[in-house]
Amino acid sequence: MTSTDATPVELTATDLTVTYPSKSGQVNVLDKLTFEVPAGEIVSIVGPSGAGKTSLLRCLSGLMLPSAGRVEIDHLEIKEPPAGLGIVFQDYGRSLFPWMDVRSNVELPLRSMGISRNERMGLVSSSLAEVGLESFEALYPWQLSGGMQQRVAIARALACRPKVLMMDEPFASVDAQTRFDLEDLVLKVHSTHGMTVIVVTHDIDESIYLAQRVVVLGGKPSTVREVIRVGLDFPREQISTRGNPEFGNLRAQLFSALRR
Amino acid sequence: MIRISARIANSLWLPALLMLLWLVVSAHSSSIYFPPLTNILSQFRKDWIFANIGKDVVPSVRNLLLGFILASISGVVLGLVIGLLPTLGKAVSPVIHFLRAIPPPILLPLAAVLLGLGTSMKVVMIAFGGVWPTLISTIDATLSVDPVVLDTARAYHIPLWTRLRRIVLPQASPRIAAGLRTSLQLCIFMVVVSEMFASKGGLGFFVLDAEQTFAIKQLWSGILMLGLLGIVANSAFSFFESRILRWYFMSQNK
Repeated sequence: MTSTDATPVELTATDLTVTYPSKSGQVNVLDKLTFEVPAGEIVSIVGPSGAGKTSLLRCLSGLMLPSAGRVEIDHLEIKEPPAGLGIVFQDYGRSLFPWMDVRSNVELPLRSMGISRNERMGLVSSSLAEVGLESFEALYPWQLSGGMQQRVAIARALACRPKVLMMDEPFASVDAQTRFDLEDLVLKVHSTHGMTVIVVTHDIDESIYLAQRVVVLGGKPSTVREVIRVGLDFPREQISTRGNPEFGNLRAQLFSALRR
Repeated sequence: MIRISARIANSLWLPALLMLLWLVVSAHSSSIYFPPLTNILSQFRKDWIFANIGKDVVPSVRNLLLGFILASISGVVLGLVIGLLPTLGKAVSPVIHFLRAIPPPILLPLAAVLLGLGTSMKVVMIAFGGVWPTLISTIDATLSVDPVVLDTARAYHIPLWTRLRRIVLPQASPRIAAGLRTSLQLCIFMVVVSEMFASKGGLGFFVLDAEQTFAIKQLWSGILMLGLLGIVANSAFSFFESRILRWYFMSQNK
């Protein structure tokens, strides 16, 4: 952790329930989810498509209120996006603003944080350098590849020096090679800044590779099937970590938890 | 240079051909209603270089600009407010649809009673006739701002004013521009109509006066001038649109 980094926060979900109205009455998507995300850990939440993962992340980030239950950050219930939140959405094409260049996209959240212009410039440059895009400041998002756009979204989150970084299927729309690079980028960013990280994904391997703890969602409505500790050492490396027999065991354990 | 002339040639060959056709077909016309094009063109030169410019073209252009600016500002501002407050939108929607269903020329006598016969009445009527496409497309565009964009703005605590100015307005701008373009057409229409009603100058007055004094060549030359004015107004609009929405057009055709 560097001196400018914010203290990471602990997050807890208690009996988190989400129901949506539909033609045939209420549809229950998430049913009494209870789990915790310890301060400074990377936790992934894995579940099949339609498991309500995006609803869960919207609740955890305070963008949406759960129908029942609550989300707490450091024991304070959150009802709106908390200060010190960094967020990366799946659809970079929609969450980056095409009318602003890369620099302005990264800078925009900082403008309302009461930081001086010089300091903002410094944060933008260092965040872009961290994701390897220092020479792309003046380009527009649509002039970049998907993977690079997602890097801009990560830089935007980093520039705010977040206490918690939340990512909703962040690498679902990029090719496999780019995906590995971005996974390693997330691990690097975490080891540099030490913030709490929550990654939502449908990819079992990704959930293990990135995390210290995996929350497995399953069923209709979704419940927490299991919370699995991942004991694999850091720093992780795509080939050796994935080749570790422990990785295989975890994958089997996760797979059977999802299937159950 | 060659590419630019090629582009001009590409978009102008048909108008040029039609003019030529008109020139040839009308050359020996003896009909008083369809004088030879050469006669119309020499009348055009007499009328517009530069005799009646100050009396007829300047007021029309000025009213068009003022009316269109008034329509644009009120359409965009009202549209944003209505679009951001859906409850207000539900209440206002029937009123909007009632008002826009009234053909604006029919309101000219009422406007004359309320505002007199001067420029302000014309400008207000031009804006009233032209505002609807801008208002409606701004409301629609504001209502349909991408939820991911709004989530991003909320998660990063972007304050309301910044959100409006730097996120909602730019995202809505391509559709607002489409509305503005239609508004411009309606404003030109209203310029002419407003000058045909109790007026002493302007292109609408010029054409109506020519008809009433049976000056057929002037009638044609006035119509040509109006067509030219329309082309100039549209080109100016496209010029500004392509600059302001450069990001949009470039991101669409990459």
